[in-house]
Amino acid sequence: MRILTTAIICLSFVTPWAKADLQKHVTLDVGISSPYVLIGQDNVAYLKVGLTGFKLAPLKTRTPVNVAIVLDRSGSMQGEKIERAKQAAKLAISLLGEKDIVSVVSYDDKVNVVVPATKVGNKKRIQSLIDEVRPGGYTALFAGVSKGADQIRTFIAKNKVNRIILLSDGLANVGPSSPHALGQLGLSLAKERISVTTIGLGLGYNEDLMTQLANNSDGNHAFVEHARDLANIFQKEFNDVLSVVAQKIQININFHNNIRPIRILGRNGQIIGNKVLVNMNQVYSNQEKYVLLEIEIPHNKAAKRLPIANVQVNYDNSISGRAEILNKNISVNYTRSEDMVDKNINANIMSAALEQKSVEKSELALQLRDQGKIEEAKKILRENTRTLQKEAKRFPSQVKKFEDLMSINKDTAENLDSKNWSKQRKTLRKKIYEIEKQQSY
Amino acid sequence: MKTKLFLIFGLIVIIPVGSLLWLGLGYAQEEQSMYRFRLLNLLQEKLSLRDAQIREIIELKSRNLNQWLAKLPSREDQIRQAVAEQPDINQIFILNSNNEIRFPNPKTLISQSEEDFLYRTQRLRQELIDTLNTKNGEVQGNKAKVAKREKRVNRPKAKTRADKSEFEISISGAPSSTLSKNRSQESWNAQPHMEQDFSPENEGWVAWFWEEGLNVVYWKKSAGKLYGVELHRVKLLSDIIGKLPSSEANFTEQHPFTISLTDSRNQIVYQWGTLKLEKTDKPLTSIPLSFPLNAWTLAYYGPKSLLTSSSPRWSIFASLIAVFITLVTLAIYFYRENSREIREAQQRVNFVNQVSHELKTPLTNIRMYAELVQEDEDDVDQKTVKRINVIVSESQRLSRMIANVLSFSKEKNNKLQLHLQTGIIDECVTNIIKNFSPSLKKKQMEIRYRGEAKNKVKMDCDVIEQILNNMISNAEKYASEGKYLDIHTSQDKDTTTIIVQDFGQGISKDNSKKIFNEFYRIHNTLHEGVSGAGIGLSIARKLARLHGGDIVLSDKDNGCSFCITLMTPKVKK
Repeated sequence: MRILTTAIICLSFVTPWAKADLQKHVTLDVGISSPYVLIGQDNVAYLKVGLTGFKLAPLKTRTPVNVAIVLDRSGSMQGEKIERAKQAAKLAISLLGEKDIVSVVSYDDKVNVVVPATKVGNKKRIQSLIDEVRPGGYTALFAGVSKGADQIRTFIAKNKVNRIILLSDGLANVGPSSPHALGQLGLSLAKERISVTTIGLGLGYNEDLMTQLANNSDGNHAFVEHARDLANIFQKEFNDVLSVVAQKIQININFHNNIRPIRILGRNGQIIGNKVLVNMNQVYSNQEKYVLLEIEIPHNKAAKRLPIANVQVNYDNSISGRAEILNKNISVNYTRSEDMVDKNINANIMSAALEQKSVEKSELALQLRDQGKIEEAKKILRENTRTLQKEAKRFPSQVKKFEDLMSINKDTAENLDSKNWSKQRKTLRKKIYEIEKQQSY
Repeated sequence: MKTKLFLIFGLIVIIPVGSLLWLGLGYAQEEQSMYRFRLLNLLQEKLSLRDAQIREIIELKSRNLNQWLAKLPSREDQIRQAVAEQPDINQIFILNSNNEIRFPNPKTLISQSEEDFLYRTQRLRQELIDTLNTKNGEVQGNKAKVAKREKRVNRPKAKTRADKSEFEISISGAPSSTLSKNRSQESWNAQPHMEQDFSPENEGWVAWFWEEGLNVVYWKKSAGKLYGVELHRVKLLSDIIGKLPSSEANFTEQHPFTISLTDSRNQIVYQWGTLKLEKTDKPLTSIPLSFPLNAWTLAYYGPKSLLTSSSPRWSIFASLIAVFITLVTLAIYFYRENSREIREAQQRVNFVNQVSHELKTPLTNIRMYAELVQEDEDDVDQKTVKRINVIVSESQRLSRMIANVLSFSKEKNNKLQLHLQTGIIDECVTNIIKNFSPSLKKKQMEIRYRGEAKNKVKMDCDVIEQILNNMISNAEKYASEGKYLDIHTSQDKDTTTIIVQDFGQGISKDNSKKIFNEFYRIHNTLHEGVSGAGIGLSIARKLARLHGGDIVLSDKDNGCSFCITLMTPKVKK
């Protein structure tokens, strides 16, 4: 009897470990849109490198977080907006734990450090400091983010998720305020492994600026039209932040055999000859982030199997604390049969590629509209919708994705010169961002 | 008279107040500019402290970059990786000892951003090479060349078209890092010190202007290779902002203020403080940052009132007002005192005048009846005659005294008048002497009269009478021991001269002028107990002057000799 009990006890200790062991690595999926290509011609295909974060075992320690909440308190935030923002921030505090570090920065034309970087010990005290934030003057967004970054640097560490959450409702007008400048800031912060999530509140903020900053630093972006939704968004953001399983992801794709990488869809990266380099700041538990490349597969006379590329992914496992490497190879098959080609098309990857391409078109339409070329923009959006409709039929399993895109294209086309354009543009920007970065909310 | 007084008092108040005001204002202005000067210095000092803080950040970066470069791997892709991981860096270039570009190597496959980087740093690399060569080579001759270049730094050129870069190179050869602690601001900023010894490890900064504004490149020469590290501009700015103060702190300043950091295009990139700035506000003072960020400035904004120190002004004005009030009060007081005294004096004179008038009428009656009795000598016995004579002479004396007082007050009121009539001086004088003789007899005095003024002239006999009465009365009082009183009249054209000489004690030189003053009486044993008001001589002289002449006392050994001159125009027959 005793032996049995001991055995059971021992087993019960081992099993969770074993279970946990299974899920400890990021999953790497490399695929190509058309695994079979025709001989005798140059083929264009899409390479997808997907990374999925492993599931976090419940009740186990997650990666500690080092977060700076940067709140806009310019004059336009007066009233409900600032109150809701404070509420949302306080909610965020309540989600954090003892091992986390939080700081709160507020800015108008000057910057106040409301809560200097501190361990989340006395939540009430931190929340009461947030309560004291009052609306003020202009908008020094750049400075606010800079101060937030400074606060993060106090306790910055490799084993933490270092994140700035920026909330703004207006146009930056003190300090650098162009999307390019903020994009540059995002880039440099990403190098420091700090990512910035930007939340735009209302209809007065600059969505290009906010998305550039988030994009380059690999954070999230959200458009919150009504202040009452802020708490919800904060909750979702923190869900992401608290579920980081890997950081400092470097994806190296080496193409063989004259395979030419044409461009990267949707993400920033470097193409040098036949090498592609893409960086990601983090991967979240149970979420997939991917890199999509358009590649050219040169023609071949014989039907054979051709290795295309080697994909190597280096990352820091936030849970185990170790640096890990994933490696996969991908090949393509040459065939004479068109049928073979069609039958084997990877619907998932193809639709992802279509998604990204339609997003590119939307982006183009947006720029045309900015230049005042409304009719041309409309044309492109309508074309886009038609294409999406067609492809939806081809890939019935991916209909949902296409429907979303179709409706947003339609809405945009209709609102190109209405008074709703500001809102529509923000919605569109956010959608584009969501798809390019595979944002979860 | 009143206006003159007013004027005088006005001056008494205005002149001191005016001069004090002028002095005070001058002083206040001095104080003001001193204060302003000191304040601006103080503010600039504060800004310099911030500049020092920023310098430290730059210095830290240069140390980090130095170390980073030292550990830089040699393979291209490794270098690229290292650059990608360095947040402070945008790109780097590496030149070999032949000044050929080794990284990024345009002969190999490089990314678009690396290509752009090579393009925009073309001129910079060339300038850097040139400057470093001249530093190591001819030292003297190129001082001017380098200096000329240096001058350009202080005027950053305006930005140009999008694809062209316009830059100014300023190169600082920093001494090797071990000396960095002792470096003063000057040498840090300065132009290549020719006196420095260039050890094989050189490093420095280049500030250049590209379309976006100021760009900063850190360079290092090591083991034959020249490294140029283009700093990530936005990161640099962000780091600086991160370290500068935020605005929730309790500042020690007692006034609202704001300090701002401005970029090369005069845009505020960051500000902190308690003062809300309007777009049109101008800073009180500003300083450029140290090299290589000298195209950026720190500016201090504060309330305009800060520049004026109110305290000296206040105290000056307060004391001026106090002085003014005091002087005005004094002036008013004295004026009132003065007028009161004048008024009282006037009242006294009027009173006396009034009394004398009252006295004159009954006295005239007494004299009249007494003289009447005198004329009736036959009907009256000797004893009565003697008594009447006394009454007459005493009442005559009273008359004379009253006449004097009345003349005195008239003179005060400017009412003395001359009534000229035709007559003969001698006759007038004879009469006067006759009237006086009885009193003189009592004192055993005798008048010896010699009259040589027999012309018919215009004269006022009453005035002459009053004059002579006073003279004779004085002689009676003070020179009776001389026994004789000589009176001699003479005429010359329109002037009559009457000399009255006594043989008394005489008058000392000191007193000879004073006796003519009103109320003045000589104090000595001779005059003790002698009654008199001291107005006789002054009246006499005034009357003489009224008559166009004067009375003068001449010096004689044995008494007094008064010379009376009168203006008596001859009358044609």
